[in-house]
Amino acid sequence: MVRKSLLPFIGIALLILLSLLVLIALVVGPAGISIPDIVSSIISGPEYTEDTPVSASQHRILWSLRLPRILTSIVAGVVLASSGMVYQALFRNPMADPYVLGISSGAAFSVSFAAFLGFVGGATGLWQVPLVAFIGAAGTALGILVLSGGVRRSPTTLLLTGVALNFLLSALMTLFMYLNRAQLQSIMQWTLGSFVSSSWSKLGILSIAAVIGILPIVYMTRELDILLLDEASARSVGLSVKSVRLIMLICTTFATSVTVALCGTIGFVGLMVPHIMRLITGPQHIRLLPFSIIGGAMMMLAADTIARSVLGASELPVGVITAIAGAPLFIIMLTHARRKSS
Amino acid sequence: MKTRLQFPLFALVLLAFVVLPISGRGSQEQEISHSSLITVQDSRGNEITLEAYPQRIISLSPNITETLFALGLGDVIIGRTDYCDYPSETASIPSMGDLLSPSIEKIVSMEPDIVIISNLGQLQTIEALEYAGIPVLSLDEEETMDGTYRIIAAIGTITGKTAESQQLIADMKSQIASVSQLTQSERPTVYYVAGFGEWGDFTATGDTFLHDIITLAGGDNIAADAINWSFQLELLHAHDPQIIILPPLWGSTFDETKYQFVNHPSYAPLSAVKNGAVVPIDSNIMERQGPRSAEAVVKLAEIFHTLLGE
Amino acid sequence: MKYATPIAAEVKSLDWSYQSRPIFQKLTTQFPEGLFISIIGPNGSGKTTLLKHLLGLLHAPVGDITIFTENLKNLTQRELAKRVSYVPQQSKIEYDFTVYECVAMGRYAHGNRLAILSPEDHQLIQKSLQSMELSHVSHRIATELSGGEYQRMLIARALAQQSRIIVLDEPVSHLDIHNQKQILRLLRQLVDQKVATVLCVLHDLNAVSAFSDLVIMMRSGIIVAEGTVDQVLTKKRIESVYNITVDIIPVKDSTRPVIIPQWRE
Repeated sequence: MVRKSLLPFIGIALLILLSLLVLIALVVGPAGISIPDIVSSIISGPEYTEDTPVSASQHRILWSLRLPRILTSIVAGVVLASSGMVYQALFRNPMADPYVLGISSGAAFSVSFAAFLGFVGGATGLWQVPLVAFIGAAGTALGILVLSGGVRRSPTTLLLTGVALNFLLSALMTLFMYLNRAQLQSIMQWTLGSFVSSSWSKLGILSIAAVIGILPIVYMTRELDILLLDEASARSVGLSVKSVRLIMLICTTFATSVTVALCGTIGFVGLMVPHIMRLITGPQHIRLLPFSIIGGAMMMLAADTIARSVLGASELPVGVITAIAGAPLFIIMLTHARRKSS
Repeated sequence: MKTRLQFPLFALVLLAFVVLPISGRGSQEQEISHSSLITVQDSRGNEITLEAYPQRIISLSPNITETLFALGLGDVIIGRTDYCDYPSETASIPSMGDLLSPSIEKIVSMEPDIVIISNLGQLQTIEALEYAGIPVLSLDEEETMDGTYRIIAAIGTITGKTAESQQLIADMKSQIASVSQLTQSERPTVYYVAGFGEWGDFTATGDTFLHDIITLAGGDNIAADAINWSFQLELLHAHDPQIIILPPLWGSTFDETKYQFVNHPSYAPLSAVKNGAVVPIDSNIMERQGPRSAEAVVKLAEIFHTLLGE
Repeated sequence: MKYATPIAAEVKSLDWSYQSRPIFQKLTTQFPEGLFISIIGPNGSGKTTLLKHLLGLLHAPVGDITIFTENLKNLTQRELAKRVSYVPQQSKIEYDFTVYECVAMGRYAHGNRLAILSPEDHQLIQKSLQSMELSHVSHRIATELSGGEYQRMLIARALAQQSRIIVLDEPVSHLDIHNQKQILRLLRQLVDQKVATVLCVLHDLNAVSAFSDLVIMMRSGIIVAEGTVDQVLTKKRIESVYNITVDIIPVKDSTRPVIIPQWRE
């Protein structure tokens, strides 16, 4: 943990780093647009007129492809990181991530099921797949809540029900992917998560969901701190544990479900960012939240930029990058934690 | 090692090097004199040998089925896959299952003389069939027109229809040659949509057979330098191809596919969309390395010619 | 029992079952204000269950609990926290909160939205830390404290709630003699300084004898005795409730006897 007085400076440094990442992301891409061209295109605004000093397609690449994609990855990272932070508090478990309530397996399952049934095809509109995915994601979370007895029960019961349902849904998803093998690659691709199909309209919906998900957290940082106490202590200190859990669950689950629906299931960001940031800020959520938000934005933007620059003409799914970066980090975290406790 | 043993050992090895090749040549001579044996080398480098031309063939790939019919062997085919749909006569042939996991039991029960499998065939299928004692001719050639010719030639050899196969290849070559005269002048920039939107952008990259067909038809495939089907959306916009080939994608008709594509905000601004140069094509004739491949080249060339003329 | 002093909390006709086994049947008792009240009894006699009802952690289907004449059912969690605070036996938190931050959590019930601590909050936290002799460790990480310090921190947190009743469940059972004495004396001080009413489940009968104003003895969900130390801690009572032989040694000029169990019988 860093001294509290240093935190504002670190925060500013991270923000500067984030801005740098945005600039790099604007410049990176196989279309080979020069930096002066990028600058003039951005300055001349979103509308393409005769006076715009770059070509129509270059302008379009920047404004319709790169810019919404950069912003979408930032918002998605913010949602996942803050949701991860909340879930780790809700479950009093530093290994929790936004997908423990089956959001990712629910979304992947419903997409594979819908593809099997023919509801979604190779030619999909903007909203068919996200809608199907959202229903699967939110539906699964709701199902787990109901099955486990709701927020009345201990977080462990909720977690275990989530684990069981995750297994079941993954198995079912594999079944439907097998039965529909010609489309296996497409569905796998979607599951791994990507920001390829980013657009301004998607960004709008994602941002609204993000606000709905994150605003309550801003007001409840103290509550999240107290939730970390055992049940009896938390309640005796005056916390309405049940209602706080319910509000936090509903808001973050909603925001995460929308994110998964629009961007696929991108792992590790929700788990790692709050963890890493906690090392800097300490456990108090009023400090952890803003740092997790910045950290989530940075991690997701960096991962997506790498995903679309490392292979030249092709792309990797961003979930692959977060896993490759996340898994070793995760192991380091584990050994660090073990060393600390022993 | 003791010196006493070394010399005899050395002599033995030397002897082996002299004797064995001689005996081998002998059996080879035996092979040539045995005119009833038919051999062909398949794509794995294995020699497939039959004692007579096969009278019962099971085809485990649509392009193989089409080739067999084109060589006049329709009545010799006793089994096909679910995806073998051309020509229409295939409907009366029993299916052995899908491309990736056909029913081994069913195949074996049909007692074929040979099973011919192509590039989507799985290793497990081949191994299972050979274990059951059934000869398997694996024709997984490179994804070019030359590879296609090799497939046709190999089938001609194993079935004794060498003359027919040579004729077919010659016809295909002349069809393609006639096309190239047409397209000398201008090569339109082309993009083939193998996948778009939520599922990611996939196209006929330079390592695919589709790329070969596009190029032979006179098109300039913007994804020629990319590999493994994956292509960045940005590059599609940067190249802004004149023509977009859009086969109907899985689960959708052409009209549905075209509607979704042209109305999708990521693709709507493309010039080809605005100019109405988004064209359908039967993906089967494009993707199958078989007798209709030349037809695909011709059809595509005609499309290019028409669109450029406008 | 009827008391002359005002009543801090009252339990009326409480029925409570757990897994269809009846535990309380028409349990009734009163806890007068301003006293050090010990609740004793063998394991499983319902002491902790009674505490949980008083804290609003369990809700009995039949019966009422009043806290300073208000019915518990009519109080929100926050309002209840301002009246009753809880010191659990053990409450390890796995995160690196400082002692100050842990005690600050006690101010939650008094806070507003966004819960930024006011100068008054800070004053109260510091006072609580002081009274529990923890000022010198307030910026240490809570998990680094010794057992005794940690327990004092939990009491400091309860103090920060400014509740007039502090409920403690075996606060010293796991501590050494020095820490036991220190904490019990601090609790006694709270009562003497009229800071709070202390309701304490204790196992050490001699500690009960030394510190309590009122003893409530329970067995199998029933209150078998209520009264002063010398009224409740009699040889007959202890032997029948605990099923163990003891010797009661009266102490000169004191109503607080010493209880010696016969270990070697």
